Amino acid sequence: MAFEPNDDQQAILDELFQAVINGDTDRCVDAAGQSLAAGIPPLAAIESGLTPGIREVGDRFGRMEMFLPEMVLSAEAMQGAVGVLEPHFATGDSYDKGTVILGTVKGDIHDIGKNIVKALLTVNGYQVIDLGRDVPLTDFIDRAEDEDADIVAMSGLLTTSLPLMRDTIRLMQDDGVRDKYRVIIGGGPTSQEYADGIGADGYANTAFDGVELCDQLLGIEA
Amino acid sequence: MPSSEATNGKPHIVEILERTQTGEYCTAKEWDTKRIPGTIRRILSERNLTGVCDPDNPVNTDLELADAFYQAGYGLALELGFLCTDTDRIVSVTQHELDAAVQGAPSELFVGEGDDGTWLRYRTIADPYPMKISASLAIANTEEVFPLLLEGIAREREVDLLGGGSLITVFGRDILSGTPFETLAGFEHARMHVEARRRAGRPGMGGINVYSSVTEYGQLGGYGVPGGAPITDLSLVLFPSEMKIDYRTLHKVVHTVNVGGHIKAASYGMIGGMAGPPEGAVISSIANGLLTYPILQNSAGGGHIYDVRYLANVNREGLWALSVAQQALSRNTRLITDPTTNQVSGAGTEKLLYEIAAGIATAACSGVSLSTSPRTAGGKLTDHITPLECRFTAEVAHAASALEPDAVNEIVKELLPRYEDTIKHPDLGRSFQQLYDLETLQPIEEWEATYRRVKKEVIDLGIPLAA
Repeated sequence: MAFEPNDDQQAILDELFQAVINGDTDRCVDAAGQSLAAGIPPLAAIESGLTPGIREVGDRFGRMEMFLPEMVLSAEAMQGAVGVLEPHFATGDSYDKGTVILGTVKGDIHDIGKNIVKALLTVNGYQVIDLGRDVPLTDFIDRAEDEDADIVAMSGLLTTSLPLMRDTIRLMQDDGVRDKYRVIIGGGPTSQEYADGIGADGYANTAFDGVELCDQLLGIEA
Repeated sequence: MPSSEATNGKPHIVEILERTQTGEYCTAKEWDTKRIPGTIRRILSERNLTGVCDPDNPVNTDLELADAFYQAGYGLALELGFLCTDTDRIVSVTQHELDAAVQGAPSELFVGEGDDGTWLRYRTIADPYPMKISASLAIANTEEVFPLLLEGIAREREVDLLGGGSLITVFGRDILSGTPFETLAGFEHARMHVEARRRAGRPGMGGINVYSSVTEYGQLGGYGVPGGAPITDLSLVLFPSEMKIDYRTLHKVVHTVNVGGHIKAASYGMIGGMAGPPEGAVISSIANGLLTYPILQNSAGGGHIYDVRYLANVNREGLWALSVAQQALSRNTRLITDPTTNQVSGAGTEKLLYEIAAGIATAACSGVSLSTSPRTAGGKLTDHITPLECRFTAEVAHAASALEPDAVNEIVKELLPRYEDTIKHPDLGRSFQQLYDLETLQPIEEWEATYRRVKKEVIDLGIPLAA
């Protein structure tokens, strides 16, 4: 049954919504604590406060009313609040669409595109484990195993980094874990043709396409 | 230790290196999410430059607005400096150092050798001295195609400098970033570059090197070394993103200084990125362009724009931002600027040629000295570029240079509807092998006919190309 907040609880949900939009982690974490104290089920706090806020951020980014720095801060604010709420989940509660291991492959230090993907995936309900840039191929696999991930997403802007994407997939095959994950790639020199050639499950031309691709691969309707 | 006094106020490279160790500490996260966007937002607001982008008029015609953006970008440069991401230290410069470096930078530069070489010159807006073209932007090539493509581009006499592409293998092996394969690839790239110019009958043609390696290894292996790219080429020093440098970048700077070459430095002001809206990208681009002169010691560069939403800069906001940034630099400095134009459609398509015409005409009328273009198919596919669009790029550059911005604005408004509907999902076209006879290095008739048809359209729109 859907959660029906009273006025005080609604005010806290509104605060979560606004704190996410403002990218204010302290305020968001504080509101998350208030929501628990006020008896709001943790999942309801996410679904009725945080998620609408982060979706609004994504919409504003699409309309060029908010930009990458603000989106990054909003995503962090949401993650901060989720960190407070998650330990109080009831058995079986789950708020995210899936877990994505994301990074720029070894040798490549460009991360703007990867950061946009991270922010957009987060605002669209994915839990994103960001490994950063210049990531050794074994790290993608180790973290995917540790986090029981759904998707491994590799980014690269350099042609000289592309072989590392291929090698990561090969290593996953050698380790016998390739079929456990959907592997996707993106970034300047990548293409569907290249993705097909190295045996990736998908390729995204833009960060927005990346969200659609993840939904599609996990069978989630937009 | 060398002092700034020895360089008429411009900081010596040793001082810059010192500042990467001693400058103010700032994390990359603080820089990206607070310092850059916060400062840009404040400056735009203080100077009433928020929301002035006019997508309906993609080539700016208000030159006083460009001056206002220059002042904003100049202020941003002095306030922020560059973050060195290897040390999390801010490399800042004083107003005196910035002014000395910008005013002391060359306003003309000869690239190449002898009759085949090219003068790059500072240009005013609508300057009759033509904008020069370095073709192309880096696009991945197989080892089989790379020398043929370079020779094909060098044979195009309208093309002034030889630029891309990038090798994807060397002696059949993957070029892994940061490994000796890259050092080897840097040399092989440069050697084939020089050989292609010789085979095209233009041995003294200038070039930009080394594209095949983004880390410092390729540059160390291929630029200014015997048998590699001569120091009469420009040395390519790209830094990783706006307002940020690293030791990879500075290795290239030091190497180029050591061998006595000239640096072309670049990074983009990104619409939708850290700088935010088009107006933010403009002042970021100007600040980047100015700061490279004291910090990266370059002789050319500045004013790059890229729209992260479209992975291009030939969309409306991208063109507007490019025109304003370049007009600002042209009217307030005497720098040799070198922005790219980034297309997304592929070779063999009409849309690629429309995108080239719009981007290049915008740059040419806005006071740009040199443009490294085109970026066929957004650089997405291996060997998807041909010399024919490089020829068209240079033809438009030379023909559109003397046009006034208001005239080009009207032309671009006619061109945009011919391609903007597919800019997010472009036709990536066909490869060099599909569109060229590899024996004669001539385009197939179909591609040649498309080129002739679009060329006539562009002439009819008012760009005075030779028929």
